Amino acid sequence: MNSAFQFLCRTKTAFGSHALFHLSFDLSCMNAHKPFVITDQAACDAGLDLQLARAFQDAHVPLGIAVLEDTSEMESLYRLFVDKGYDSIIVLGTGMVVQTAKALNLALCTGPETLRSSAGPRQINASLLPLAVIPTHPGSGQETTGETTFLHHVFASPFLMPDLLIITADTMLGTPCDVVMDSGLTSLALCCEAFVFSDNPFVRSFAGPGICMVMENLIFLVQNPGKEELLCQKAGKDRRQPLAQLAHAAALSGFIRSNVPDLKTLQAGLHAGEPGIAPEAGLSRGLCMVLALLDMFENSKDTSAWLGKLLLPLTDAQHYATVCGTGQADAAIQTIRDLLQKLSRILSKDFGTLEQAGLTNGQVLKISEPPFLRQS
Amino acid sequence: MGIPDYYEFGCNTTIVAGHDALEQISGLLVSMEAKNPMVITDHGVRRAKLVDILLQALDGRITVRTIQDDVPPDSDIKTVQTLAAKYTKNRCNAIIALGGGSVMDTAKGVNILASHGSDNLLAFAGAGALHHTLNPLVAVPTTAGTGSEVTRVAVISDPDNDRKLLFTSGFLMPDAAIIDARMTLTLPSAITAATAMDALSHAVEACLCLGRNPLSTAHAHEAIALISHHLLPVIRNPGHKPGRLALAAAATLAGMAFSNSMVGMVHMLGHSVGSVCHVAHGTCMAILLPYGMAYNFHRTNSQLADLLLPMAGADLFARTSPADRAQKAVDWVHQMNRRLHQATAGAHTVCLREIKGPDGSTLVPGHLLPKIAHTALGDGSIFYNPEDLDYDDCLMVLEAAHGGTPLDRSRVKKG
Amino acid sequence: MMDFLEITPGRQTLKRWYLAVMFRFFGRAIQAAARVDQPVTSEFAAMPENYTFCLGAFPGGPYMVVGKDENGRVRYMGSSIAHRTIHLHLTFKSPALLFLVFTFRESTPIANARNRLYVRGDVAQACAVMRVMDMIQVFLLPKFLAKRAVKRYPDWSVKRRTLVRAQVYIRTIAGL
Ligand SMILES: [Fe+2]
Repeated sequence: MNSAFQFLCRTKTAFGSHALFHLSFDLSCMNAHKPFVITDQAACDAGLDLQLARAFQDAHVPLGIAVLEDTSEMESLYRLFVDKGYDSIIVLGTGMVVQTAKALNLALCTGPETLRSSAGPRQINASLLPLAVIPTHPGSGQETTGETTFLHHVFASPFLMPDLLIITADTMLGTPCDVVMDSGLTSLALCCEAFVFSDNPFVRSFAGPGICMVMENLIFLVQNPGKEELLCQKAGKDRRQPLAQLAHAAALSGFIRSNVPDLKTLQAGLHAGEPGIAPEAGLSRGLCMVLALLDMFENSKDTSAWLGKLLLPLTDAQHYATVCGTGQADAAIQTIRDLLQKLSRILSKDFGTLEQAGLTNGQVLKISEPPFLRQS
Repeated sequence: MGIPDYYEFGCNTTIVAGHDALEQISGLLVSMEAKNPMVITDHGVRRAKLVDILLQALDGRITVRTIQDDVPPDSDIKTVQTLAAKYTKNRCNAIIALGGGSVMDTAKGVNILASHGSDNLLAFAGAGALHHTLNPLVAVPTTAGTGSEVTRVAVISDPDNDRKLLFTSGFLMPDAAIIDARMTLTLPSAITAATAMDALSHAVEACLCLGRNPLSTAHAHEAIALISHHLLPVIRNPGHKPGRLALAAAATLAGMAFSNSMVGMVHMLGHSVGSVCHVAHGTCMAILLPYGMAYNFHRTNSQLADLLLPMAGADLFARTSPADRAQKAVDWVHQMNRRLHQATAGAHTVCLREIKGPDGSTLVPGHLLPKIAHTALGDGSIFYNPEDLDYDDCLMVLEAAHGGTPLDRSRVKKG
Repeated sequence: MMDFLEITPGRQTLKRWYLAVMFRFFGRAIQAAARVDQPVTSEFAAMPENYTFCLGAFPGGPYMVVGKDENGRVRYMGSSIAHRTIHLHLTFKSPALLFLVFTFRESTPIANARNRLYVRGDVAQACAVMRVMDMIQVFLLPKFLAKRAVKRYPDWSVKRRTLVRAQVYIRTIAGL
């Protein structure tokens, strides 16, 4: 074990059936009695806003619901919030709405000019307003990080992490296959890298379940793709439960991102995000990250003690225990390769390599260099 | 991975662990704008010179206003009130809690009163009675056991009314927990063994009890593996810093696990043995843990079987047939107790009958078992236990643990 | 352009009505069992004088209040918590979560383990109240339902299963 490590996850996660019905009590515990709901059109079309309102029945809590189209509406959000005297934020959605809500929370506590300042990342040391996040599909993990990007400025503080995260199948929307796969592979890459290289038992305790949740649900979801118009009420319960678990895995990877510095797979993902690189080769960000992960693992197979133990969350106790010690690292790598192969077969698509995705040889080498070699 | 229909998991304490983690305390306090802390601790900690290590770690940015070291072994309402008054009088704005479970609970209580400017602790008892963040509280555990540095509860006794007050709120979680290997380096081996077994019981009960979930289970398994690897080596070589750090981290992991999925009959019976006979908590836990596992055997077979992997390692797990794993896990705990008994030259006891007081007297005589069983029925941990227990069930388990005989599972009523 | 609307959620009339009926029935059953069933009687005997407890939902009910009156008799005290000293609150975090339990989709111990309710008051008394509620459920419900509601279906004597249960039923309906 490392001689020093840290961990912080400010978010309380509530997962499962009837989770929404805990919300009014949990908010009242934080002295929040008038929440401002930020959501998007897709969630409203599926009637999720009304479903949320139903969870506040009998609680005499009035809800203000803002349906967002893009981030440029910060000004009006801020005005509404202040003028009507709300005291907390509920986000119903994944992705852009969460980023906007975090930025709004920041603006509300440090003044609206904070967001316009070009001073770059700034330190926030005080508690912000209570923030509850209810994802509507599996995300990138950004929803639970202590970070938000607004107008190209990055703001970071553990206080930006949501106070409450409510993941329930009831609010899961039918999600297109590529979004599901991207989310699943992103979570998998981040959790696996942290599990093997962080050398931090607190990080591993979050990464392990994240890996299990992806391994148990991703194939099923890609095999049974949801159509975009097939929104939550119509999607079968059996499909929404795996979606919720994948959203949970994404949330866990967000906690990990906030606690493990310099995740290499994250950098690989950023490369994929650069215009003109990955999309032409058909490589999504998540896929780039897993490919980088595999490169990294191949290079550290003989030196990393935890790579073999990764086999446990990737498969199960029985399989892990029966593979003998030295074979575990290879078996772990093979399990991830098998997953990619299965996905490629289901989608009848060739995934290619990082080089094909447009990354230069140097970039690939830099990414796949295992983290602990850099340290020493 | 079994996922329950609904679960919650959270712990908003900043965890800073390391061989010299205390060196970071000043920075943490400054970031919380808490430059005038009160130190709450007890005599034992002071005697072990841990307060000195703490004071050395604090730099010029921090001014300790007062050091209070008379926390009794069982935190009570009077101590809390006295300390809260001193907090206000000395114009402190934060608390550093340096000690074991009682110090942590006391500090949480003091923080409630000090943050509200009140002297009526009763007004805040129960669940959800707090609505605001409290003043900064930094916990520095000195026993690798209780896990209180990451829990949302405080138990404070009210001796005048002969009851224990329970405080539950997310706001009671300390803002930071500093896990420093130096804090446990000088713990005597018997206490090291007992507190580690307390942590083990938190981890095991977190995996078995009704609130179990994938996250609490992952934390618990991580804790169990650390304890299994490091406990006996540390008992043999008490000055081994990495081992000490591992045990301290395990206790915190187990604390995170059980504060989210709660504990069951092992604590229910253990609390009662503790309060009726004044036996140290960890000692009770070590003895009762395998009995609790055996009692819940039929309800939690697969969870018990899963425990064998972190406990005994992959080899033994693979060699044991799936049907035998649960029993092997129970046996492993019995065996761990026996090994600790040997390694501590008999100071670690394996049955209630053998627990001795400082004067050599028997602390848990057989005739007190009915009283203990009766007290146990009033302990809240019963709610979370997988199987129900009535008076007769408690007595049956206590009798087995008293004599040190394995629990006869055929006598467990299965309904 | 951003849409904005304000909603003030209403009340769940049907569910509240159902819960009110269940509470009335359940409360009167506790009163009845405390008269005729020895184990329930002794649980109450151990409670302090005037001890009153309340089962309900956050934030505005419904509630069921049961307690000992000045003569030490256990009584169902109705559905209002106003102007009363209540020593023990067992409160679900929402009426919908209470509804889950009273439609037997989730047992009380499971709801408790899932953090769906909170207890305010002395824990030892809360344990006693929980034991009483378990026994009442076994009295009132058919076995297949009671098995889902309690942790372990008890093995009661024939007399308690038949004679005492019949008395509890009659008294509950008659409100004695
Ligand atoms: Fe304990």
